[in-house]
Amino acid sequence: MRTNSKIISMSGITQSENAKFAVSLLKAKPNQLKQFSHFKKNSTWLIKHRDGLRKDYGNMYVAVRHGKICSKSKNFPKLLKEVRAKYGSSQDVFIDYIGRDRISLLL
Amino acid sequence: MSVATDVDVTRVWLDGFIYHPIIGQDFRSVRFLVDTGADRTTILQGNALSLQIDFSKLTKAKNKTVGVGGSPDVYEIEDVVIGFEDENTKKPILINLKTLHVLKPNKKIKNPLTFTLFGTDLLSLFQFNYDLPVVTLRLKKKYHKFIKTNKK
Repeated sequence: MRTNSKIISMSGITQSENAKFAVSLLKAKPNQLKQFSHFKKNSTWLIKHRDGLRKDYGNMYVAVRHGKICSKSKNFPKLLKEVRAKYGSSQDVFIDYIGRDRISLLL
Repeated sequence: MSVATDVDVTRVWLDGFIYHPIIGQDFRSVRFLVDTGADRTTILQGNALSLQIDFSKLTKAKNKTVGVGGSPDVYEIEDVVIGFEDENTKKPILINLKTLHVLKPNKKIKNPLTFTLFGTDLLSLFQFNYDLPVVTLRLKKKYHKFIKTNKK
């Protein structure tokens, strides 16, 4: 089978130049791991609370930061702009669309 | 070695990060949706907007792509590093993806999707057990030889 991907490394020792760069990047900026951890907490929070949010935030994009909704809009680019203006970046913020009813995805 | 998943009724989500100079000097957190129908891992339009991808630096995909909505405007980023956190050690598992697909945002799309599809190009590296409500994603044993831990 033709594969498009390969595992390159874990925690420091790498298999390629490309990976070396990535790992040094991870080491150089530990705050990014922190950002990832915040992002993860926010995304998990939204999955858990999505149904309870439908009434108040239905058919809107919501931005979750520190485990609560910090911004909302029906317009995604507008919300992104707002979040970047407020917090400098959208890196640790999780943004997703909430339908008033459960949305079916057809990908 | 396994990656934590979030199951939302029947959908399987996981958090990870993407690194490529085109996306920025830092790695960027991304939410992935496991999609066994996607041949390629693909950043969807809304996620492309949030990652501020500059499409003028990308090339159009060489191969034709067809989805349920027809043929989208697909671009490629080559040699991307995709990372996931090992559920037990909390250390990153890094994967070199030769080609990552990106869908170009289009103003005609009313509600752009804000995640990235975890396609079968990545999924094939994992043992995927979909037995709701429990879903596990474990790195296949044959790939463990590529993983070396830093014993410092």
